[in-house]
Amino acid sequence: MKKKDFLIIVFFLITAVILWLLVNITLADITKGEVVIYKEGKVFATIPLTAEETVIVEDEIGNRNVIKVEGGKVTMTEASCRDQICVHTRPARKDGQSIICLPNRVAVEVRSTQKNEIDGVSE
Amino acid sequence: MNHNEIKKMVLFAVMTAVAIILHFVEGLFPMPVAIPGIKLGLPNIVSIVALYLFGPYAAFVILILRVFITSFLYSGFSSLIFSLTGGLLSVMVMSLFWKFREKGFSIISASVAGGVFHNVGQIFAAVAVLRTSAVFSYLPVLIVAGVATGTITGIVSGIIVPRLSRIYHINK
Repeated sequence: MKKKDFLIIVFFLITAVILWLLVNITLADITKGEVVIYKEGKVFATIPLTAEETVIVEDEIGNRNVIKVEGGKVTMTEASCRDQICVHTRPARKDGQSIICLPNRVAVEVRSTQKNEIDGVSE
Repeated sequence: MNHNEIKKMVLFAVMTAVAIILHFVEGLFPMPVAIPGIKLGLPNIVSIVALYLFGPYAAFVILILRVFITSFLYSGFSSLIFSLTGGLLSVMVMSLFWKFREKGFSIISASVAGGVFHNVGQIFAAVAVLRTSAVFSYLPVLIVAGVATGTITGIVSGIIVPRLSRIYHINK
């Protein structure tokens, strides 16, 4: 391994740390937030984070996801997909955190209900 | 077709077959499930070896053949989008490092950058498919994973390339 290889590795690791810090600083804890559930890229349901609610997302071909909002956090309790990655994802509770089920094209996202001007850029 | 061209064609076919088999083998032993979506990237070894033995053209041809065949054999159309964007971005970046290989960047640099950009490409594909930028928060984890798997595949490729080029007497 040459010296420049180490530099490349260090460069990527530093980039990762910076990105990680950025993500964690911008994801401030929120009490006033909402859970947005997307199916095939479209908004399926919007639930306040303070609610206690279970939502079932189903489509014509039998893909099924069960999403549970409880105690200020959201979890995917059940999914019909093969890999079950979404079910094993940690509960989402902060602004911007998400649970994604790629095979079923379902995304669950927590977002702050407080207005944030920066968020408009990514829309 | 002269002798050399036939030899190259056969080697491309063999390498594509090896890549498909590595894809299958990788599926046999799952990675620790704590971090979802992370793979060792064994088929990427073939891309790197092809790049350093025959150049970018070979790497792209073998990559595209491998991605299409494995997607249709094992995983279906939606994985095709992810594999293709990740793979193409990865080979593009590795080709850049291959071009500057005499400037002190070894095969490991190429492999690490390839691993990282493979994951970056997949994230962008996920953003496009799901139409949510929330996926970006997963990027730091995937960059670190790309560095780790890229280092491993880079070391393996670094062992393979000199041996194969000696065996096949490849004229660049």
